[in-house]
Amino acid sequence: MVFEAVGASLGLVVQPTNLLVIFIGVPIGVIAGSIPGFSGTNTVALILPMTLVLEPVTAIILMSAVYVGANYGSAIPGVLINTPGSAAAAATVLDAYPMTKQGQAGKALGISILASVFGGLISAVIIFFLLDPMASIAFQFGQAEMFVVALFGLSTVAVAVADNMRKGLIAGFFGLLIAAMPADPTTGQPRLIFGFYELYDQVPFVSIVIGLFAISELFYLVNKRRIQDEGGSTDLSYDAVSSGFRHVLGSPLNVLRSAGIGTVIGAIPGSGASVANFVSWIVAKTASSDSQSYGQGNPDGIVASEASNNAVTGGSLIPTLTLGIPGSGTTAVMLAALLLHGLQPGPRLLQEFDVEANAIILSLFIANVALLLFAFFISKYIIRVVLLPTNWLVPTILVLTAISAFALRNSMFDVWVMVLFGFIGFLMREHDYPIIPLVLGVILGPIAEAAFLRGMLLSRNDPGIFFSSPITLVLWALIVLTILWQPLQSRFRDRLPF
Amino acid sequence: MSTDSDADVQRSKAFSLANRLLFPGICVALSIVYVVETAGMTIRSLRYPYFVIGLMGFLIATVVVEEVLAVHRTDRSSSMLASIRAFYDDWRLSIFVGVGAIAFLVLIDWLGFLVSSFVVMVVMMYGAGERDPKTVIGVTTVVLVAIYLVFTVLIGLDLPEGPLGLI
Repeated sequence: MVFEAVGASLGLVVQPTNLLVIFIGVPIGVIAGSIPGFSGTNTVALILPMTLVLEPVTAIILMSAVYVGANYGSAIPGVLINTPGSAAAAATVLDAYPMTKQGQAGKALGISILASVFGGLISAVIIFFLLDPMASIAFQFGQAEMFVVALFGLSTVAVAVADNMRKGLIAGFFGLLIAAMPADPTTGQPRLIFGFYELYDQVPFVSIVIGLFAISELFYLVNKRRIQDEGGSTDLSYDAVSSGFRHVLGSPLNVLRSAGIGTVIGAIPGSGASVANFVSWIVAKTASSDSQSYGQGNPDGIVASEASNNAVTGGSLIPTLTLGIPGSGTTAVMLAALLLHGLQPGPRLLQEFDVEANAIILSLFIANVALLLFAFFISKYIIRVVLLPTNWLVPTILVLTAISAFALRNSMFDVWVMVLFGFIGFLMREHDYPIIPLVLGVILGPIAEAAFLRGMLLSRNDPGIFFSSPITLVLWALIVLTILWQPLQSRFRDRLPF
Repeated sequence: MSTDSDADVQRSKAFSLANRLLFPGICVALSIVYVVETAGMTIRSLRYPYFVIGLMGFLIATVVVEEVLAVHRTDRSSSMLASIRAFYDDWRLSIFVGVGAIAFLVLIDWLGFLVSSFVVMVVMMYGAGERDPKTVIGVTTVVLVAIYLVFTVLIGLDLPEGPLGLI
């Protein structure tokens, strides 16, 4: 019975029209995703009206293919010019850009391609077999758990990326404070919006990410002749990209672990690729015997980030298909498409439209194969960006990032925010304040605050709710351990056996 | 110019301290403005942001003490004016990019996106060392045509327009 359903779904996916939309959708997603600030959500939203003329399943398959492509595409400018296309690739640049500066752009690009593909494939396998059980695990995370998990993520990253733990935590709390500037989520009362209505709803976090990474990098880049460090050379051949493939093939544990993290985080509504890539990167760093090299060009850092952020595509489909709750902004748009085409998401979707639901999941396999072929083909050409003189690149990046930030909400305010955070990013980098906790704070801020407020509301203002379940207790213990680890390690360095 | 770099040690104590405390100062200033602006709101809504401000404030206090002691412990002979001059010499091109970025945003309001991008790209490329006028004009034109095709023709975005009706 199961095999019959799978066979029918496979038959649906391999229909010429569906294969065609996959091979069209993936390149569209990669190209759109590589434009800084133009996220997968924007791209999928843009093609939504075009899907109305398609069959329901074909429409969703097209959107899934675009989603897969866009999730990878955001890594390309991150690898080459330190400008993540979206927050989903923010952790990728930590190791990819240093590799590019060391003349290993081809390898970094190859790693990002194959890690993304494997992440997507593994996540598709996981959700194909474990759709129902994973949905129930994801929903063990209530408001209290989400609040504590946000604090845990922030403290872990702050401690791990900073030489000085307190500077890392300051950067993280600064991010949380910035995220708490818009209107109060419960009363709608403005808090610190400086008279800008653009801040009323939310802070433009993509502009902040672009500013912190890309604009701050311009201040350094302009003092060099090329992106690559002086004296080095960059291999522009497919061999360089293939060497990245070989590295991924030699890191099966990292790929599996990161894809698993991405799938699980993707399945938790409200989180997504922007959270998954950091969590996965930090787990890989913690598990590594060479953790000091993370953030300075360690290929395993790229594997961790890229495998997890592409695995989110599959994971986020779990709550979307099983409960009708979107796991991310992109799946929210896909949910709208399902409804537009008469497919009602929720528990009954898997019973009434099991062939169609399985076809959507199976299409992820083919979309990832299409991604591998397309990304490998274009890698040899896009890598040449690193050879361009910086006196061409600096003004080009400035103009491109400005229009990308503007495109998010048709607002010059977002462009000013981007430049402002470029200066702040430069200041932080100059004084050893890591920018990653700030980015994560801005991303996690709304999740943490909403979970905190709802938790307090549910418990009638009893903060005990944040210590009431086994999951929260374990997470609090891990937070304490994370914060105490560095001081304890330096205090008892000589006496500890590890 | 990291905190403990040679360049930093050659600066005057006042300059170095001001430099090191600039980011914590921004954090504190934002926190103070936040508290002032939200003073009239119910405490129920403010528990979360004040929790964040409290923790951040504590951490900043410890870091500020550490930075002040670190600067105090080093011997420095440079004057404030000499430090500013040395900083300018180190970061001349970066300052040029920073000023250019702000000028670009101001110009967009007057000239529209494409015209101001053209002006800023030409000036920046020339200022950053590209002296061949054909290359400067060529690269600028290619980039702006690509931006117009992708963002306006394909995506349908209305580029920012200036009061003169230029884009």
